[in-house]
Amino acid sequence: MTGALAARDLSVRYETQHGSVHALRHVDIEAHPGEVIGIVGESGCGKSTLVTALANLLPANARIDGCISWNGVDLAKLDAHRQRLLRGDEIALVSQDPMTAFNPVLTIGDQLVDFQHHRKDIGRARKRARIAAMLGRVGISDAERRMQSYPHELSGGMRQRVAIAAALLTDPGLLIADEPTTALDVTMEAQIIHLLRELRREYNGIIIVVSHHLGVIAELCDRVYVMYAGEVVEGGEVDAIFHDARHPYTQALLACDPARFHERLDRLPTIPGVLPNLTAPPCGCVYAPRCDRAFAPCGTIAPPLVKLSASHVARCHAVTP
Amino acid sequence: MSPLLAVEDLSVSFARGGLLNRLINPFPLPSFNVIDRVTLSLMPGETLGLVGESGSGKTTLARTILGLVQAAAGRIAFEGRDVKTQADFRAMRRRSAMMFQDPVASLSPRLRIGTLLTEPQVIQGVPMPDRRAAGRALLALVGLPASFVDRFPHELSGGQARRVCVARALAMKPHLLLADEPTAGLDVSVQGDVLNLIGELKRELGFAAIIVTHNLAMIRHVSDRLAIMYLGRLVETGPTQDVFSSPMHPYTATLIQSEPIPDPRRRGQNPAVNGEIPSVFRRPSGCEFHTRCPIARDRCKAEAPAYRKIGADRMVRCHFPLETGGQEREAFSRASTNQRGN
Repeated sequence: MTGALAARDLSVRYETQHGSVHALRHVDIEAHPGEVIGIVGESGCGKSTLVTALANLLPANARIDGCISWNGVDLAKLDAHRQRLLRGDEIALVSQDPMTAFNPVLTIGDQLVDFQHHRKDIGRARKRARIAAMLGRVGISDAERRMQSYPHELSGGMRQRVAIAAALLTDPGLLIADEPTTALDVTMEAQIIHLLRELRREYNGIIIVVSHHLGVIAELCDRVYVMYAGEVVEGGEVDAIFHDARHPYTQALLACDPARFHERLDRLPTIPGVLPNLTAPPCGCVYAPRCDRAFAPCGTIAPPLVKLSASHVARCHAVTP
Repeated sequence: MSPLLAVEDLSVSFARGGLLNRLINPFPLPSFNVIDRVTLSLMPGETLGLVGESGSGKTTLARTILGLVQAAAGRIAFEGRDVKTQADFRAMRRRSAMMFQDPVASLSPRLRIGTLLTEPQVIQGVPMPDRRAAGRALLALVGLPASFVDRFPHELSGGQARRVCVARALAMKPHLLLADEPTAGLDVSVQGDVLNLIGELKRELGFAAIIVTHNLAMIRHVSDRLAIMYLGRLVETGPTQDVFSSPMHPYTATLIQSEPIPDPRRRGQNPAVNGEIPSVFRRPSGCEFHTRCPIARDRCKAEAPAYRKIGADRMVRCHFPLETGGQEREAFSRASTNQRGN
């Protein structure tokens, strides 16, 4: 199944005993079949809240405003049962460390059979054959033997491959990979990036990659949303974001990455200041307190989303199309 | 100038099997070397980057240098004197310090920051007329407000906890700082902050540092020399800029090529290396990198390469090092398909 995903004016707040935490505010994103979407930002920017909301897995104290539509259906309006069906069938999630996603006392093969429990039309033998084929596709040789293994017997990179295979078994229209390479070594990371790139050739659903690592986003994605303190501050084609960033935060974030400089720097660039408190977000621009280009309206008026080109948007008073 | 720290043929071995197995098994399983004959030296004021993937033994090496892990063989000399007994190590630790990998876990949750910062002086018996004032002075050194002396570790952010660890490591004015993954888990905007702080204090106080990391993009800017580890052995050492511009060991070259580049116009095509890091339990024969090396030949499987000197200041453990203009470098760039545009 393939379809389009869109979030319109999506806000999420968590009700805690210290007040409401406005973790996500007025987020607009969209994704079309065949696209790899990157969501990048530092810790606390709301990227995990966003994908958790997309997968409908927010905790009970979360309050959602706005709308998430999947193939024209508003996810928030579905009842719990229908939401669950959707998660199993059409939305799949690959987490940061798949060790915690797998059951340690069941073999890989048994668990991957369970992943297909929505498929009432095929029997167990057929399901195991599908698993073997899928494990081969994600680059695991000796699939039959691996199906007898327990999660702890696999290396980190191998487990991440199995997690990707598990996600793809349900033939999802939306695959969400939350920090898929963060727990891996750099040589394994390169292999997983390569695998995801290869898979997208035959897969025509949506892949959403969440990462704090600019390199991973640049290597993998077609379009990128940059998040800061619960807002999408800039969005656009990957080339526009990395070569023509307009929002001061995106520019500062890119400038901080030591991988961009080959000559030795005596001082690494940083972003001075701290994240705003999300229980009482600033009424103007969220980035204004740290921004070197802030002027009068930034402190009081929330900036609009400025359309810079057909696909490039930035939420800033200082940018002009 | 004589080196501040000299490590020669240092090996660390771990016994295999559980305690019961070792007690009752008449043929005990052979122990295996997690650190295998490592030789390196550090000049006063120098920064050495110790780089490798997980399981390469870089953290164990750092801990062994400070005597936190017992060496099976080899020799450590600090400021010209051999360090052998526990008393020697204690004396050495008075003039050296370690920053552990997890800053929050290395700060006791029940002690206030002021107490934590001044613990090294108390342990080493340094007289301190006013402990709180000493804590405040250390906080000022790393740019944290003096009011932090009364805080608990859980009240700090990740970056602040790192700063506290830097302050505590420098409390005794060490001549050597060992920093284990000083930026792991930090956001990119904060990571620079911590590294700039260490750099500034280094210039001011003049200590030498060993930075253990897997982050190549970062170590390039903060180290003078690099030592690359693979399966408990050093495979290459040399000046940082030279190692980056012309890596000699194929493993170093693949590490550098594997790093994702934050530029969509320079995407790699294929992973620079396939396969996984072998286990130290089953160390491959010959050169331990031959199972993944794109230019491995028969000799690499059969014969372990010597760790030899190339040029004035490079050491490489490879039969066929990728020398500039040599045929190995050409063969390597042909075999490694991860060509990027410029």
